[in-house]
Amino acid sequence: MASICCSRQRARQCLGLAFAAAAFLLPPPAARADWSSTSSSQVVLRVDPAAGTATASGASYAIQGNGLGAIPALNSGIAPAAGLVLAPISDGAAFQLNTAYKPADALTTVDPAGALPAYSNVSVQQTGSSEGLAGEVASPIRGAAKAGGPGSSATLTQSNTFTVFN
Amino acid sequence: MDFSKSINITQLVLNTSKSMPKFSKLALALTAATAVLPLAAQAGPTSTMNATQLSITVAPIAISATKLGAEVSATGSGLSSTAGSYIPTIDAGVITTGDPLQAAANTTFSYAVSARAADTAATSNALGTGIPTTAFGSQSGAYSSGTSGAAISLSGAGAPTVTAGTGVGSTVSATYSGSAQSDVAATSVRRIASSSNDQATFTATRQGSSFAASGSGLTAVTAGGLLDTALGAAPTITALAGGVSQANTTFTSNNSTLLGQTSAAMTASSTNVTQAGYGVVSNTLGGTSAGAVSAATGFNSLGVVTGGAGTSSSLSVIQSLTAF
Repeated sequence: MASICCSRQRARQCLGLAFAAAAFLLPPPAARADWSSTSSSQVVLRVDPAAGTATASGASYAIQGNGLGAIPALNSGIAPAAGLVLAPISDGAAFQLNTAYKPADALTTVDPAGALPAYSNVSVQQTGSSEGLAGEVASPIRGAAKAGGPGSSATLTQSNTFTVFN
Repeated sequence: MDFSKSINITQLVLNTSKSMPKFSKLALALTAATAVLPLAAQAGPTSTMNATQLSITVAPIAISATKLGAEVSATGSGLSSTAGSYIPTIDAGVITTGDPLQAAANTTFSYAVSARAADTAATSNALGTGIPTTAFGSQSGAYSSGTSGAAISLSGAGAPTVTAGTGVGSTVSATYSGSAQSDVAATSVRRIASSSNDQATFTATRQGSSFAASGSGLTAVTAGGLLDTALGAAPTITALAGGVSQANTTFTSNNSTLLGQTSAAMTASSTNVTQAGYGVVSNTLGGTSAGAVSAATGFNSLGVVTGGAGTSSSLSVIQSLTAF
């Protein structure tokens, strides 16, 4: 009988251990509230860096005319003939000439430090100015920012969430 | 007997031990129940969310420049062919002329010429140190004020402050998003207000020089036109010489000149641009005073007010309501 009692006690102990183990293995119950509220604010200040592009230009040459006497030829490939002297083909003759010429840019390696190569088409954006740019978040629901100079921006963001559970 | 019971119980214990998976299942069930309970509690929550974003942007100073090539245009009639180099030509971007314009007395003549030497060679420019120093003949750009006075602030549930300022090139915007949801319905609203002062802009182009003369019944023309010109320089004009009226002769005489510009570099600080003094210029002044973004009683009353010249304001509102 004593043996039986001992076995029952061991069984209870085992059951207790099992529940204890189960309780230990279970995650703690999730926190529960009747409502929750979350507020957040963020201020972002930005000053643009300098930026630029440079585009090389190719060579171009165009010539058009009439009533002119010229030796040598008016053009040579993509360039005007050097030392060209033009005159009306005869005294009093009407003449007309249109010429345009642009030499090609010499291609160069690009300086990774930011220097623009000596090309014919250049676009540059100045370095931004932080002059006057300022911002703060005083609390999750309070913030302020002021504008800076050219090439700057300030963004103030706030979010609020309120939930009431049934 | 007792022993057997004992054995049985022992077996029971052993069986119990073997039945631990049942306890594992129980533990899993408890775990699941624990996990589900909060979900059940959240089955029909009433929630509200609102997000606000205010921003100020001051556009950067930006410049573009293009190197111009050489150009020549010439027409004429009734002129001497023996001294014809008054007709400009191009030699490696340089304008070359030499002999003076000549027309015999009492002839009807006309001569019109324009020429522009190519810009000087481009130079490399380090970024971040200012506008390129290269003297290009075509320039354009936009710039903003150094100080705009624009400001934004949020103060809890109070009305936000969005000050547009008066500086050119600045933009303020306010975006409000709100939503509410319950078991039976959901609603949302999104309001976006923006007010901006335009940037000041300019384009400038270097002109070539031009010379035109025509006449009849005049004395002989002995000079006039354009002279040799270096890269980036404006061709020098030689004034018309001769070609004056004569007594008892029907005559006509016309002469016009335009001195072009020498190519020049732009200069700029972080707040302004000094453009070259070219002959073809187009400017816009930029905004004067941007319209206000108003929210007198909070973001539910978000609105905009018209600004001055060179400004723009916009407001959009999107609302939705859904019943389940």
